[in-house]
Amino acid sequence: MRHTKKYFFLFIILWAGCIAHAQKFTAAVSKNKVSVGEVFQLDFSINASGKNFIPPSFAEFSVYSGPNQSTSMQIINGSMSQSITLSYYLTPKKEGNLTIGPATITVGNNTLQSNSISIEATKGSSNQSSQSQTNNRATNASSEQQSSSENLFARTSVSKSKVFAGEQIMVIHKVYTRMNLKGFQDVKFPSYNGFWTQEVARTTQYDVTQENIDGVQYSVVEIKKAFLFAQRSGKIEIEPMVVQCIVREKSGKRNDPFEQFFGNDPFFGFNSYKDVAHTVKSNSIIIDVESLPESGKPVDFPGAVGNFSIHAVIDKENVKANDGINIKITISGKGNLKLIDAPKIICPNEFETYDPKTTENISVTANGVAGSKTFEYLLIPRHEGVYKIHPQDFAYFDPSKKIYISLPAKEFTITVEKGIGNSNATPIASTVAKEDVKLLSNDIRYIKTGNNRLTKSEDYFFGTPLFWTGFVISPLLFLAFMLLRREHIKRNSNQILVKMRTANKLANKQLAKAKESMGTNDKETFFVNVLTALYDYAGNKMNIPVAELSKEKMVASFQNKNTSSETIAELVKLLDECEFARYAPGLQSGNLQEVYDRAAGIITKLESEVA
Amino acid sequence: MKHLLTILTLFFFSLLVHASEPIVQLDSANSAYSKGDFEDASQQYEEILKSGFVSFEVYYNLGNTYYKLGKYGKGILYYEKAKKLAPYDEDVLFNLKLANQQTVDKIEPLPKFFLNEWWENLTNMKSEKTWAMRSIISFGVCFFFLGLFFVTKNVFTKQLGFWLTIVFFAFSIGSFLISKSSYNKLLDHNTAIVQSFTTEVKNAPSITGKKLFILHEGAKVSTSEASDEWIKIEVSADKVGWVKRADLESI
Repeated sequence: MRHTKKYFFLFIILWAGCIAHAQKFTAAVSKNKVSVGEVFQLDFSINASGKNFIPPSFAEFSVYSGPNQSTSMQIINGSMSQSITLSYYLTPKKEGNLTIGPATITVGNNTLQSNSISIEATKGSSNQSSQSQTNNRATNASSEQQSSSENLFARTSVSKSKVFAGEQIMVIHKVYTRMNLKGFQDVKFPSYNGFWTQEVARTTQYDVTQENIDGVQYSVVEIKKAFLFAQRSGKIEIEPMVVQCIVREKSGKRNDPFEQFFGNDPFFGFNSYKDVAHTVKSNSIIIDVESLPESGKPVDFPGAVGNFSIHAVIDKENVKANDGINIKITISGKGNLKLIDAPKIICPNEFETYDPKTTENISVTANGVAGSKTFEYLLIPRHEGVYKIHPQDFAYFDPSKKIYISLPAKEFTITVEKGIGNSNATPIASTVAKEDVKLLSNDIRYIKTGNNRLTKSEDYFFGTPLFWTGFVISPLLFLAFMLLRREHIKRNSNQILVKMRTANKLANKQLAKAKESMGTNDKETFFVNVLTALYDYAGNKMNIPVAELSKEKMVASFQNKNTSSETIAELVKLLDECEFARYAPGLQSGNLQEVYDRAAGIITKLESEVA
Repeated sequence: MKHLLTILTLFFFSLLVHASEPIVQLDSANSAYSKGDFEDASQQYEEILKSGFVSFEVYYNLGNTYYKLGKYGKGILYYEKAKKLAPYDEDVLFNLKLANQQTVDKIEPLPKFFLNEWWENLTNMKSEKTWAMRSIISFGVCFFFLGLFFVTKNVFTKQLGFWLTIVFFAFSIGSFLISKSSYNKLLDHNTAIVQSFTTEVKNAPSITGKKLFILHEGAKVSTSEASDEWIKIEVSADKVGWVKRADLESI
C-alpha cells in the first residue's frame, strides 16, 4: 500500500483519459476471446449526459444482467466532466465469430453511434458450459491469471520496415494495458545498433490514449518515440524493449456481488490492493535497409538523405584585400541533418579559407527530424582582383522519389580592392609565404637527342703514334730552324771574309784603272776611279752596304776598328781633295801621280792597321 | 712542312669519325624512346654500341631506357659509363642519383683525400683528348719561345722568351700527366655494377666458400683479381670477397 500515494496521480490521469474526450460514445468488452458459456462484460461509455440509449441486439448472446448504469463525475481544474457507463454481462450462445452491433444514444441534438465489436467464441469446456455462478467465478479467476499477457503487453512499431540507408524511420514503444497500471520500473530500451538515433523529447508525464484493438479497449502509454537513421545497409534488428509495469491488483477474494459492478474502482472498492510488477517484453523488428543507389550518385555526396533546400548568403561582395568575407550556407529540411558534411567552397588560391563554423537548429517532433544547419565560412582575399566563388552544389537523396537531387548553389562575384597598407610596406609579401616549386613526381630526365656525334669506341688519343708525333714535331721544327739559322749565319760571315780579303785587291785594280786614265790625262775619270777605289775598299773592308756608304759611316767604322786617327784624317783629306778636284778641273797634272801614290799608301796603311 | 699539315688535318678529322648508319639508328632509337617503346629503344641502343660506336649520349639514353624498364642495375651501369665520358653532365648525375635511390644496398663512397679529389676534378674537367692536345700545343709553344730566346738580341725579349719557355714546358708536362691519368681511368675497368637481383659474396672463389654478405642489383663495387668464373670485389675496406663474374658487369 505504500505505492498507493505514488500512483494515485497516475491513476487519476488514466481515469481522466477515459472521459476527457468530448462526446465520445464507445463500446468495449472485457475480453474478445471467450468460450461458450463464459461471461464477459460489455460497457458502453459516454462522457456526456445522453438519452434514448438503444442497445444493439444481443441475439447471439444471452444477457446475464444489465444494463447497469454507473455515473462518475469529476472536477479537474474547475471544469466538470461526467461519464456514464452502461454495463451488460453477456455470454455467447454459440461458437464462431460473433458481432456486437453498434448502440446509439442521443446527446443534445446529435445521435452518436458506438463502435461494433467482434467476439470470437470458442467451444467451452464442460465446466464452463455449466452455467453455475460459482463455476463461472472460478473460471474467471483462472483466466484472469492467464490473461495478464492479454491485458498488459508492450509493442514496438515502426513507420517503415524497408528503408534506404540514412532515411528516417519512426519507432514507437508502447505499453497496452487493460489493468490498473500504476507506473513503470526498469525500462530497458533497445540500443538501436546500426542506427543513428534522434529521440523525441518527452514530457515528464506519460500520455495515455485509448486504443481499440479488435474491439477491446486498451489504455496505451507511449513510452518512447524516436527517429532512426540506418547507418549501413542490410537487415538490422531493433531489439525488443523490456519494461517492468507496476499493476495494482486486488488482494482479497471476496465473492461480493458488488464486486462485479464496482470492479476495480478503488473509490468504491471494499477490497485491499497490492502492487504487482509484471515484466513485459515487446516484439523485435527487423528493418531491411537498402544502400543508396550508385547510379547517379554525385562525386561529393555529403550523405544527406531526406528533403532539403539550400540557401547561400554572402555578407559583402566588395572588399579590400585582407578583409574577411563571410559566406553562410543554410541547409534546411527534413532528414539526417546532423550527418550532413559541410559543403566545400571552391575559391581561387588568392583566398585564405578556414574551416566553417557549424550551427544546428534541429528539432525532433512527432513528424520527424527537421530544422536547419548553417555553415559559416570565413574567406580572406589576399590580392586585389575580381574573383568568382561558388559553393559546391548540394546533393541529397530523396528516398520517396528514390533519386539524387542536386541543388545548384549561387555563385558569388567578389571584387577585391587594394587593401589598406598595401601601398607602403606591401604586407602581402610578408604574409604570403613564397612557395617552393613543388615536385609533382620524381622522374629521370629526358634522353639527349641533340648531339648526333658518335665516336669509335676504344678511340683514345693518349699514347697513340699520332700523339707522340705531336710531341716530336715541335723539337724537330725547332732543331731544323736552329740549324738553318746557323748555316745562314755561317754563310753570311764567309761572304764578309771574302770581301775583306779581296778589298785590297779590288782597290788596287781600281787604282790601276786610275793609272791608265792618268796616262791619257783624263783627269775626271782618274779622280772617279780613285774615289771608287777608296769607297769600295772601305765598304768591303768594313762590311758596309753600298747604300749606307758615306764618309761619316766610314770614319765611324774605321774608328771602331781602332784605326789610327792620322790615317783616318789622311783618308778624309784625300777624299775631300779628290771630290774637289773632280768637280774643279784645272789642277796640275803633276798632282795626279801624287794623288795616286797617296791613295795607294792609305790603302796599304789601312790594310795593315785593320786586322 | 706540307706533310706535317696533312697529318695534323687528318688527325683532327679522325677525332670526329662520322658513321651515317649508326646515326640513323640513334635517331630511330630516340624516337622509339619518345614513343614509350623502351624495349625497342634499348635494343637499338645496344646495337649501336655493338657496332663499335659510342658517345656519352648513347650511354645516357640507354641508361634511361633501362631505368624506364625497371632494370635499375643496367640503368646504373650505363649512367656510370656515361659519367666516365662526361663526368660533369648534370643530367647524367641527376638520373644516376635517382637510379641509385632505387637500389637496396646503401654503400657510402669512401672519403677522398682533398689532393686526390682536386686531381680527379682536373682530370674530369676535360677529356683525355683535350688534355693531350693541350700538352702537345703547349710543348710546341714552349719551343717557339725557346727559339725566340736564342734568336733575339734584345735583353728584355730574351728574358721573356726564357720564362715563357719554362712556363709552357711546365704546362705541357702537367697536361700530359692529366691526360695520362684520364686515359688510365678510361682503360680502367675496375668498377662494376651488380646486375643480378642478389648475389652472394663468398670468402673464396668457389661454391663451397663461406657466404660473407649479400649484394643487390645496382650496387657499385671495385673489382680486382679475377679467375674464369669468380671475381674479387671490394665494397669498403672491410667488405672484400668473391662473387660470380656473371653477376657483375664492368663499367
